[in-house]
Amino acid sequence: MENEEKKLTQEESLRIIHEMISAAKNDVKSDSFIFLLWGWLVFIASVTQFILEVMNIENGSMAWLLMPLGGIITAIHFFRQTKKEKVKTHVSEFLKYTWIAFGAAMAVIMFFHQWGASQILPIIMTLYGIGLFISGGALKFTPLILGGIFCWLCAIAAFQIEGIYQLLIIASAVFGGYIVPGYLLQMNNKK
Amino acid sequence: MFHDLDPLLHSQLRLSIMSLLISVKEADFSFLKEKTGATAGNLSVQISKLAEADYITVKKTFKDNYPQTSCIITKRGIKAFEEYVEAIQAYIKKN
Repeated sequence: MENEEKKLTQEESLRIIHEMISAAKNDVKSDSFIFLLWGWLVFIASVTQFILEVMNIENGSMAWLLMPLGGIITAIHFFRQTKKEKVKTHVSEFLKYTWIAFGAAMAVIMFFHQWGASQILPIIMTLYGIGLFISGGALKFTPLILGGIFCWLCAIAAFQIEGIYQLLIIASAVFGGYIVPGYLLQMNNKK
Repeated sequence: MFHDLDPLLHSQLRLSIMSLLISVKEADFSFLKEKTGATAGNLSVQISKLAEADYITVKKTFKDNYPQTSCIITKRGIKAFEEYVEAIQAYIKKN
């Protein structure tokens, strides 16, 4: 790169364009940490509530107090990541807005819904599916796309049943939709 | 040989910078340095030339009290880059 005024041939020009575009493209790495964090938090909360309900222990839904903790960890993580970030890709920006929209939709539903309790978990799983499917498509990472489809199938199953067994379905949804693709993404990023 | 090529883009490092910036939304100086393999001094000079031509916008900010330079390609830069690629393609077709 030092010989700045060297005459370029058309082949050299094309090679430079190709190499640099490829170099920028290869820099798109998604953050597996967030998928694993939320996957495990929801998994632990749903399984804990299920066990407490089966044992007839009151206030089993307190297990979901893990969610605000997840929100705080996510905020700190993104604050640190933004500081370290050397490049903003179109894909990373697109994903950022997708997951902000997901979070906003979740908040609207959680705080303002008028449905019965049995409708909430299937709707949340449907939203999971949207976020995962879009992320997988944008990153060209099939496990996330399949994870999204799996969440939708879990949502269909959860609409069919009521009560505490929905908790086991959401645990399965996050296991197949977040945790497994999250670890595969982590392995993929290390390559 | 190249009659219609933009002289500002027809340079190894400036073309590299523009090719990187056309692929991303925003890139900071260290990213451009790492990907192009250029020296900081040379990179600064070429970034200034591209900014003077309004092909890129340079943003200077502070992160953890350290100055940080990030670059974004402008609409004019995108148009120039596209015209440059078209000119090369036209040349290849002719030959």
